Amino acid sequence: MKHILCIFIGCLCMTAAAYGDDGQSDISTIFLQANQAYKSGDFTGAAAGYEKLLAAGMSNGELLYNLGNAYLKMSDIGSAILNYRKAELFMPRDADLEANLQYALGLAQDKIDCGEGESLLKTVCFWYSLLSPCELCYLFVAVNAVFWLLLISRLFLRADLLGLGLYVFLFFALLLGASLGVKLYSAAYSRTGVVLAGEVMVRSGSSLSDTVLFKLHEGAELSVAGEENEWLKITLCDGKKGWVQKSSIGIVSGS
Amino acid sequence: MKAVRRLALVCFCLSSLVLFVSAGSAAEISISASVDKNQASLDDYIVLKVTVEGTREEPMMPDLSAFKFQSRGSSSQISIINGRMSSRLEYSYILYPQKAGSFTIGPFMLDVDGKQAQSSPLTITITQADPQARQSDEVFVTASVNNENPYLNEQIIYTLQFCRRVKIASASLTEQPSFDGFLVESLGKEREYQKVINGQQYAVTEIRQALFPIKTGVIEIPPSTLQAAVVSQKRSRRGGDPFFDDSFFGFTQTVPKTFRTNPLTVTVKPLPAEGRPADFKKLVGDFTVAAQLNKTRLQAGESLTLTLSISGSGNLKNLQNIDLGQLQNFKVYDDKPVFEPSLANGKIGGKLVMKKALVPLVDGELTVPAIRLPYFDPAAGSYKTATGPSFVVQVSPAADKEKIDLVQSAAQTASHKQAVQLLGRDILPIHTTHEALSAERLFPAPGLVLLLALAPGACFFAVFFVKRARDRSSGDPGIARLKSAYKNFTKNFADAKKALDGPDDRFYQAGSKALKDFIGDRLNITGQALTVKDLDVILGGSVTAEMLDELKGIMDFFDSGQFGFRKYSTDERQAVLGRLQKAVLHLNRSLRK
Repeated sequence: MKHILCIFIGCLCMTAAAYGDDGQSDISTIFLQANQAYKSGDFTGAAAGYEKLLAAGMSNGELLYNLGNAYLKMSDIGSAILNYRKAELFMPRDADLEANLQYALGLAQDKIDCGEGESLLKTVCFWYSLLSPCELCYLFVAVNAVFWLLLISRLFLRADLLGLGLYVFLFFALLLGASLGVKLYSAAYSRTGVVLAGEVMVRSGSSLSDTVLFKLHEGAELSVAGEENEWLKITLCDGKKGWVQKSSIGIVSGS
Repeated sequence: MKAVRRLALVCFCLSSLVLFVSAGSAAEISISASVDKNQASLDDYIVLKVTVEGTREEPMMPDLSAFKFQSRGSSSQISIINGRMSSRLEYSYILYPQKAGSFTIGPFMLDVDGKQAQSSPLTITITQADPQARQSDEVFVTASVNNENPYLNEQIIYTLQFCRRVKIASASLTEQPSFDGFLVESLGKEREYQKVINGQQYAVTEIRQALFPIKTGVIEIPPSTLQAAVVSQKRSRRGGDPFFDDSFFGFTQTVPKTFRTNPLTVTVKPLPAEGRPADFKKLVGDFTVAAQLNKTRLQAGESLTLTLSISGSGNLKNLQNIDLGQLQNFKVYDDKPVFEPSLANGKIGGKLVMKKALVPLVDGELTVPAIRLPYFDPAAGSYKTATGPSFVVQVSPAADKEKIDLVQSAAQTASHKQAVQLLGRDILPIHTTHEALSAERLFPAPGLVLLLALAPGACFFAVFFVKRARDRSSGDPGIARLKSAYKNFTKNFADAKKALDGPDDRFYQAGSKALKDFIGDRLNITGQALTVKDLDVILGGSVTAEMLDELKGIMDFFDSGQFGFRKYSTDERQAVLGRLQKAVLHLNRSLRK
């Protein structure tokens, strides 16, 4: 048994070493080159490098943030906002990201009045937007574990403080569990997007012969309510609805 | 008794009055309206009287939008003729015409308990006021500007004069021009003085305002309206003591009148482009600049205060700051400018004081250049530049630089704080940490999360059931005996095994105890009291007949050995021990089923 374990660990180390020698060094090189290109003003080269890393599976907030920066420097506001929004899912509290996203949103041409309902909800349920899905998961797991541990302790101890702690942790476990559920549902079914093309016509139906209801410009944010062939049914936060061609929209999240 | 009679009389009179009033209210109602004249000019007024009979209700007022009206109260008259009472109420109003034209007033309406009455409408014609005639009047108002052709931003004075040579009971400016196209500054309180016009002495009330045109072209200043109650003689009075001219004695009456000024037109010229300095700050007027430095010798790290005073007449209030030019060797902290308005030669101006803290950035001899303030002088029709003095400052190196910097810094931040100015906008830089080279998942593996989420709950239930089982077993002696049955057997069996070669009794006692205690513990009965016959009763349905016979045989072996019927060899004893072990294992399994 010990021999088998040794062989298994050995194989694992060799695989890791091989990966470290070839794959990791390549990825590091691309990353450094992209950073260098960005610093020297070659934003197209930088964006290509970051895209290559994303294609290689290196999906994370830092990389998406850098890619957003590169696109913004190329004046591609739509792609910049798209990548910033993607990065925000991974690192929602990053101050640099927030600042650059606000800057990019300020450059977007369309002013869409979303009302105060959304910002009020964000203020009340602040933890929802402050925690990434992973963080929310682990926090829920931790609070849930503490709750059950307190419950186990309650089998042997009858302290009043323990009873109070039980209620407190049950409350937080339920709150975080519900938040996690909403986040999972949003990730699975609620799609948001950003207009990538300079100007898109939002039509009353999913064909070019349908009436143009309104126009959206690069960087405008929207929700995707449905899909039909190569068309997306979109909704703006001010309630406007219509159909746009899928190719002109970048999807931030959702299946 | 007398008092009672008086009271009864008063009650009777009051009752009668109430009855009369009631009777009067039941009478027919009527309403009529009249004016003292049907034709008036804009600076005149009309007395309107509305008479209501048969009720004390106030009439409903019709549309009077062409007039401003003022109530002068009401008078009532009650008459009783042949037991019939009639009441008559007269409401009096003064109408001030607001525009020229022909207007219809009324009808006035009355609605009392379903009974309705209305007056005949009145037609009134209002003509424009005659300005020529007004000059010869005893009372008139005039408006004027001192310059009808000013430059853009040049100060002009608007003067409103209220002239009269008769007594005025009251006067108020009811309508002031809006002064669209001008910035307006008041030139203080109204002024009262005497003035001779056309050989007549007038009392004059003068209101002056400074106007700064903010657009070029023709700007019209609409008329101002003044309402005054003019005192006039009611009838000729002998004796000349003016003391009796007071209306209190009834020899005079007040006549309300409205006076309007002429509209004025001002043509505003643009400022000439020729000769306009690049740093011209739209100052128009006449200005001087003074500058003062609180010290000329200081150590590095210390600050000095430059006080700039700009004085003169003109639109100085609009000047927000002065460019100090190339002050390369100083860091400049602005203080909030202080403006003190003042009047000079009938024009508004003042003194703008700006304090600037200068912190030298280098040691040595430094120059604070002369302050330049370009402005347009409308009197000369050209641009001029007011210049202040320049200063030379000696800055010596700091003796204890570190300490001084700290102290000065604290002092400066306290006294020279200013809002951070955004000079440019750009995004924040990329992140170059190697965290960017990790493949992260938005959500952790669902299986792992599920496991971590459910594991504590599972642990709880496991602990719960174990604890419950333990609680139960510790509370029920039968279960406790059941659980410890085999353990006790093993112990007793070991004792028997030890006594295999020892004295006879100990082996048989230990062996018998092992078997009987096991059955007793297993079935929660007293094991030591068991006999071979008891086995049939308690194990009859639970074990096979062969097993029962085997157990009976073993028990019989130990009993016969113990109580001295027979003695067995060591081999026989060992064989029985083996049989005992097998039988107990078998019995344990059978009873568990």
